[in-house]
Amino acid sequence: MLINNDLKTLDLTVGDVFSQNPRLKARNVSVFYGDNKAIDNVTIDIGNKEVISFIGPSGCGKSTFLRCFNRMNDTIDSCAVKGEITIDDENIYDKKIDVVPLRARIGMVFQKPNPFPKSIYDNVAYGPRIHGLSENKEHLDGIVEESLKRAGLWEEVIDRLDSPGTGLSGGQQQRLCIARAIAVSPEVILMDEPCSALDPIATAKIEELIHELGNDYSIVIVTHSMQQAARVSKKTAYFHLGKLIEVGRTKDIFTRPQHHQTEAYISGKIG
Amino acid sequence: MNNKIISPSDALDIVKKSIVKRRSRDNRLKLFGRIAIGVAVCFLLTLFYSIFTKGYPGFFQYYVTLDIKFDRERIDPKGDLSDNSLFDGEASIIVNESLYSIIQPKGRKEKKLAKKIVSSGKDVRIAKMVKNNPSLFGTTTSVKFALDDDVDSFLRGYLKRETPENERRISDKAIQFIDKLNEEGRISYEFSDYILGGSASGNAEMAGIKGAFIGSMLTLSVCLLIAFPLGVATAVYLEEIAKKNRITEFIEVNINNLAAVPSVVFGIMGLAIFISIFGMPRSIPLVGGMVLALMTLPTIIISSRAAIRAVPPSVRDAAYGIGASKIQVIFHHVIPLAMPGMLTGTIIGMAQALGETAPLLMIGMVAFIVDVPNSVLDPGTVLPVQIFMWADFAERMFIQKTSAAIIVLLGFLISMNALAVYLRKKLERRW
Amino acid sequence: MENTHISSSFDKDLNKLNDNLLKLGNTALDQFESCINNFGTQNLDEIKTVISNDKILDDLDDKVQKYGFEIIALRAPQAADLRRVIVALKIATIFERIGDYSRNISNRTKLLIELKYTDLPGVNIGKMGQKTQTMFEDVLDAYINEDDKLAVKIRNSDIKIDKMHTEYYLEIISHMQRKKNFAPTGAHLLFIAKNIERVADYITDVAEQIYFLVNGRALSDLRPKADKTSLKIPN
Repeated sequence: MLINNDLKTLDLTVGDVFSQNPRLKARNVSVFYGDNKAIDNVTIDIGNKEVISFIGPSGCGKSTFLRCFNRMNDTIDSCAVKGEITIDDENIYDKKIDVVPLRARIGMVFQKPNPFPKSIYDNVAYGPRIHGLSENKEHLDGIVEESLKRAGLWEEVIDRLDSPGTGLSGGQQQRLCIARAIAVSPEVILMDEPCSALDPIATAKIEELIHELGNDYSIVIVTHSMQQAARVSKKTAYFHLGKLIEVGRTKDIFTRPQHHQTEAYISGKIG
Repeated sequence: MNNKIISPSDALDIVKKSIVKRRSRDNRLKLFGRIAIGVAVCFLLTLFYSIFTKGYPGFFQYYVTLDIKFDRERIDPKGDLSDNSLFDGEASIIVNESLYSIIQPKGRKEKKLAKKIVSSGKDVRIAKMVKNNPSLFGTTTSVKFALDDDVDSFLRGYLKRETPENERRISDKAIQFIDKLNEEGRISYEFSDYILGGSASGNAEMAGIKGAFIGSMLTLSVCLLIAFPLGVATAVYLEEIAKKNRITEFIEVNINNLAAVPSVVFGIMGLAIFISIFGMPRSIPLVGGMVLALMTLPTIIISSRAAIRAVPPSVRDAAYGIGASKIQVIFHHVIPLAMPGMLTGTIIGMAQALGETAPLLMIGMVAFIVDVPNSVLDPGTVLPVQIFMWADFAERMFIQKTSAAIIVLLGFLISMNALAVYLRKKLERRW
Repeated sequence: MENTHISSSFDKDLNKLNDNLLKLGNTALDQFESCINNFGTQNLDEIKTVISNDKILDDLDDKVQKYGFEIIALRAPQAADLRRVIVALKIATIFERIGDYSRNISNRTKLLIELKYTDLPGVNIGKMGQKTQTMFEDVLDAYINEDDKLAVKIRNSDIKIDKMHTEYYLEIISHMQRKKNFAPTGAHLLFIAKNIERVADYITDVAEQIYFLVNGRALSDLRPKADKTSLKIPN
């Protein structure tokens, strides 16, 4: 195990930062809110079709970093992002890149389920409609059905597609949001604490869903529950005060972490 | 154990003792609240009572029923029912003849007196009737005519017999005639067809609010068509698109202040800019509507901004996250969700505008307009101004009609506010 | 494992643990069966196979420990799942130790063959071995079926093995007292008998773990003991 002093001077991330055939690459990314540095020089790969979770104590910047991948930080005026994030070797922060199609490639599911105040059908159909993904009504119906099936919600809502999305239970609403994200055929799905507003059974169902989705999409999930990271992801990245401390296979992180800070967080000594 | 913390049993005693004081304080507060509400309700009831008792009779008038010979050659000499022909015709003479046959005045002086008993609008009434129904020609039909306003006031009991003649507005002879007509059962108290159907008139018995009402509707329409889109667009721009810097703060402060500016100032501005600089005609609903729009804009902008702010950021995040552009987020999500609040604010703004008098006086919508305006470019007046003008006239009947007009105005204000409340409740979303 | 978890990967992990544990148990059983047979047949090749196969047991035990450890770290199992994992870890160790004893018995059998002593009073050892083997087979069944009643039966039958061991011990001792050059052979026989008795004890431990797995509490009454070898001084 690496000792405190070594790492403070080296200031490097421990573990497997890089992946073979990554979907997204983040290089030396720093994020500022005004003068406040929220993310400090983070480099990491997001692997193809695998689930990676970001863990760390509150305020360590994991949500901020997550939002960099689909440029949701653009909606916050005081936020500045430095460094490079590339998808297929294109820097998404380049001036030429249009943020709208980017967000169709990299979808997002939020902490509190936020279906549109529209019908279930319209919730899922909205994305394909505005991006022009469907050719006709039948095609759109097909997209909606397939997305709801993949999100594990089709059976439960098949006879009430016109009823409002807000009338579903918390767990169902979150699955609706996942279906909505899937409907625009993303390559990556970002999830920001998707289960924190749900009860344990709904959480377990969503976790099982994430496990299945990991076969088709690259998923990045931010979670404040270490146990959830342990259950759901293949890889885990530990953040602390804006720095990426360690990245590795979830099994290894939870049985023999290399960095003493990771060990301290996992065993509940800090954070 | 820290001895600053009181033990549970001691705490219980202290709380029990203090509960009596607290309860009595609560009850006193409740009592004060009830008294305050009671006083307010009393004032309100008194107001409504006085308005209704004064105004209700304003919807009614006294009429005299006379048998009229519809003689074509006399009424429509040219035979074509044109205004010219009817004007040349002898409709009033026919009416007078019918009247004389009942009360039988003797001599010119008495005949002159008798003529004045029936409202001077008698020929207009005949003309309207034959125009609508030419088959009346050749018949003798009974027609109801409004009585002159002094006669009406006498019949209501405001002008008393007991007053000496030289102090009365109505002479003894006239009273005699009236009594005769009454004996014959020809005088009746009916719902007035003038109050709502007639326009401004110097004669109280013929005065009505139709012209003013149409004028109000036209002016409000102009105001709505200008203020609503402009107000909503401004609110959307300030909330969603403009960067938050000194300039937008400055704009926001000014809009908030404008909401407190006395409405007469907007009238002066309308006079100076629309009428003097742009050279638009005075007294037309278009200019009135523009002035009212300027006045209502701050209200609409402020309530629309509040409605837009009330849209939770989670809906915006969800829309951005799915790849909607800023305009799509605004038009597909924010505006529909903010619409109930925007509509409510607009309706309340319109209700305020409906009752505005001062700015419209400034731009001259106070002229005595008899004709009902047909478009926004015809001169007109509005209901509150009409009320204001009638309040100047001395005749008793004007007082009643003024109160009746106030009732109509209040009725509209209440229903507009009720509509706002209904819309708000119906469209309220839970997200 | 009847009921499935909402998380299918949790089920997969538990099954992986269980499969490896059963593999370990069955291999240990085969080893034991083999070493008892080889005592009778004295087939040197078979004996060498048993000795070299012991490594398989060590590897399987390592695997079970690793999987159990990971499940505890990653899944935080509760209630029956927790008992299952802990019991699996304990039983794996026990099977591995039983494997060690099978290897020891095989080593000693090899030495016995070299000593070339004929006319071994070994009938009882065979019987003891068979009985222990039956216990072993039963305990594996009890584990697979989570049969606590069978587990109690197995535990109670340990007393028979103890009795047989005491008898055998006395027999060997008296033999060693009569014939001096029998002593080395006798010593090996004693050790082999003791090893078999220890295996039976271990199997009883496994049975007690199975009882705990099913009921959530330890088998309370004291195990009946009849091994009086440490108490009796032979004459």
